[in-house]
Amino acid sequence: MNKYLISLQYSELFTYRELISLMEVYKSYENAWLKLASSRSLFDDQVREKKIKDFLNKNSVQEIVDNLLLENIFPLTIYDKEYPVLLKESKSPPLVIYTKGNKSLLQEDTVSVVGTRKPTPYGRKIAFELSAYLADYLTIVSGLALGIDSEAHKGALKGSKKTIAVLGSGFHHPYPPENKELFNKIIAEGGLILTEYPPYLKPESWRFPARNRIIAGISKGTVVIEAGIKSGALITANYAMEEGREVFAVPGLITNTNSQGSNALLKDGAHLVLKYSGILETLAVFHNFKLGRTDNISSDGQGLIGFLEGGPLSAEELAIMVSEPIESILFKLSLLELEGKVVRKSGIFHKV
Amino acid sequence: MIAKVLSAAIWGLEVVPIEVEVEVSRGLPLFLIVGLPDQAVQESTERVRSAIKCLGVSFPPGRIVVNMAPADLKKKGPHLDLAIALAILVHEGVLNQKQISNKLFLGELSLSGNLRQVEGVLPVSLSIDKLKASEIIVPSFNLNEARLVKNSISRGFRNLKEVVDYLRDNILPAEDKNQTEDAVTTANVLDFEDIKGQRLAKRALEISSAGGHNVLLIGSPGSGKTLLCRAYPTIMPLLTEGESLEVSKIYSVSGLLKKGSLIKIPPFRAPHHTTSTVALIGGGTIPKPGEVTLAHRGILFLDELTEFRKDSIEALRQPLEDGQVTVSRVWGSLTYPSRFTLICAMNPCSCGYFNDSIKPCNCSPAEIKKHRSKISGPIVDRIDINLEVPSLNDKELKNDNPGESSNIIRQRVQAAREIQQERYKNDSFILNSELNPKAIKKYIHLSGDAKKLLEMGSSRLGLSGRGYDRVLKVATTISDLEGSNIVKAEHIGEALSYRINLSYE
Repeated sequence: MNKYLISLQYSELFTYRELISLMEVYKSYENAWLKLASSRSLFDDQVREKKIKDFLNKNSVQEIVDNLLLENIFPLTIYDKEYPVLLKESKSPPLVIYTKGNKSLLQEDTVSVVGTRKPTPYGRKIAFELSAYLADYLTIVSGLALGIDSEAHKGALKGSKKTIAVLGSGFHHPYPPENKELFNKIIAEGGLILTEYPPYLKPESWRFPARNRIIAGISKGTVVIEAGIKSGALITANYAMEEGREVFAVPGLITNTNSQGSNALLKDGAHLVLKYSGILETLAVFHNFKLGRTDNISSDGQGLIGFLEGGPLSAEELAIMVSEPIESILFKLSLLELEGKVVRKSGIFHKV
Repeated sequence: MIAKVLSAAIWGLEVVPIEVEVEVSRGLPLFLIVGLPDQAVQESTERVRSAIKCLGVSFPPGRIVVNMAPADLKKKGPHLDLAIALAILVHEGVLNQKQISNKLFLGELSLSGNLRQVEGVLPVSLSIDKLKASEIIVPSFNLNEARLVKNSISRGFRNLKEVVDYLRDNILPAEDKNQTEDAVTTANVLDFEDIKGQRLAKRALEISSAGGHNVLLIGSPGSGKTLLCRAYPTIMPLLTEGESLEVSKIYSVSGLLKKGSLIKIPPFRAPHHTTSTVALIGGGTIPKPGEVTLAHRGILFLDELTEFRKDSIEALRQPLEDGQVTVSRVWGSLTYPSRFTLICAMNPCSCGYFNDSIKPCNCSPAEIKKHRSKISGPIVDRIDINLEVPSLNDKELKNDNPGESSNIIRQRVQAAREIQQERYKNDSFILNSELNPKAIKKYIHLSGDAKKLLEMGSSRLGLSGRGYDRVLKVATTISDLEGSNIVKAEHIGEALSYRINLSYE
């Protein structure tokens, strides 16, 4: 944990670009902190220089971090191992993120579910069900806004409870106030809340598009359910496309203004959500399907394929050749079949 | 004076007491039986007349009317002969009413007065209390069967004279040395050990036996389907006492309880594919049990499923679903139990060698399609385990070791069934195959991996809702066989392999 970077970011006295260049100029944030506190006339703006000096001299990095931890807020910098890999790979990743809740979710495969704040009953239902279904395989990311976002979180909580909410404000001012209860529930039930803003920052309209870049950046794919033509969800989808992530859209009625944006995404080539499991297929989540004793299972499967290279065989013949019980052969063949490595015709297995 | 003798009639599997009354009055010689007798009962007049003459008693001249009460029930079968003859003898003064009271008589007479074997002795013997009789008199051939019921007093006689001697002078004939055979009826001597190879099919049948799952085997001629199915009863647990009586009763009514001992091995019925619907389901003017009832608590094996008449197969739906079959006739309906495991076998195509590794198939795609379309969808829906049995080449046949004996497999099956009984003790089902969607949710617990694999399987393989449930049920039986308390990925994986693609590519 880089306390200096956290504290510098916490001060909100530097822009994103400035923080990056601080590293380039001073080689380390510790160095930057010490130099900034002591040197003179680094800035043209006298008022700003005074502000910075005051902050750096009045606060200790240890104190800032300790206070955060005291509130159960856990900051992560981009240099930390726990910082989500996908977010790091994205364009302009936040240098510091503040988290509350189950940090282990940051290492999981994620998909974001976003959409309008004023959904139709259909949109609500889909958001809830889809998230509940996907939560068994993926962590559901959304923005804790009203409407689709809330349904997505609630759905995930109904399922495996793996969900991440990304805020557009600091932890002291969760927005919208109507979702205060959901906010607490996510933390209590093993989800995670995340923001790039220090706790004291209030929500501002311009912070939400920036928040959307994190939602898109942290996710393998983004599912848009009902978004109007100017919806923030489209901003998230755009970010996702820029990052080269998969974008999905749920088709809506063309007469519904809140579906025009998501339908337009479909026209532009987003994946059409026909059924929930299709999302898993596209995200190739199954390709990573692993069982408890994975290693020897997959290698055994490879062994069976080796036998099939000589020509198609029945399960019976394989069992004799490998001298293993028929039930374990059947299990392995089923796995290979699902992975698309073998096909079965009238009880005889062929290598693909 | 009107003589009364007690006998019984079988109605479905129920026993109804019959009171045989005889009245002789003056008039032209006539011997009339009233009370809805069938042909066999009507012809009883000639047998009774001759048997009484052979006894040395003169047959009463005049008008003889035999009434069988209750009068609205159809009486069938020759087993009322003995009662009619005795009623006449009472009337003639050879016996008196007191000597025959509290006794129930069953028996067919020959012209010389010998007693012949009859059907339905076991159910009568079982309901002796209800019939308000203290003793049952049967032909000696049926004595063993009557004595299967511990608390009933039964006596067997070879001819009418012995019966009269006993009733009048309490003389019991020397008993035949045909003591009851209590040994297990080993009609089926083929052991799993005797069948080479076929691990796949053996495993599938073991699962079927443990969970009561219906099975469809598809394979080329000579792949050993029939042989395996015939050995199937040896891996089923022996019938419990209650089940055994239930089954023996059915067999007694059908006249199939030949040796007079209880049936302990689950029955195996293999009707030929030309069989009629009535023979399969049960029927007749007075419906007799059909194959589905004879297979109760055992196996109904339909070899060459595609050759059966379509309406016969469709008629299996109700018995499969409800475990009982109701046969309705104009005058009412009868219900017989039919809780059996269905095992079907068929060729993959009309020539039999579709996708065979040794012989080429010479069917056109249209022929294969036609062949496969003969299988009824609703029946396939009730089959949990589908299996394609490829034919074995010589090398395997020669090399493979014999494998486990039926006894060892049966022990595993028994253990798995006990687990199920414990799990469903508060519910109405006994075996995994009987679970409905609601019960599946309640009782089946999957590990995380198993859940993932099932989802993956269902989306990749396009399982229907029913197909999904089938995999779950079979996987649960597999885990019960292993003694695992949770369904693991291995179990789901194996269960997924017992499905079949009925396309014709």
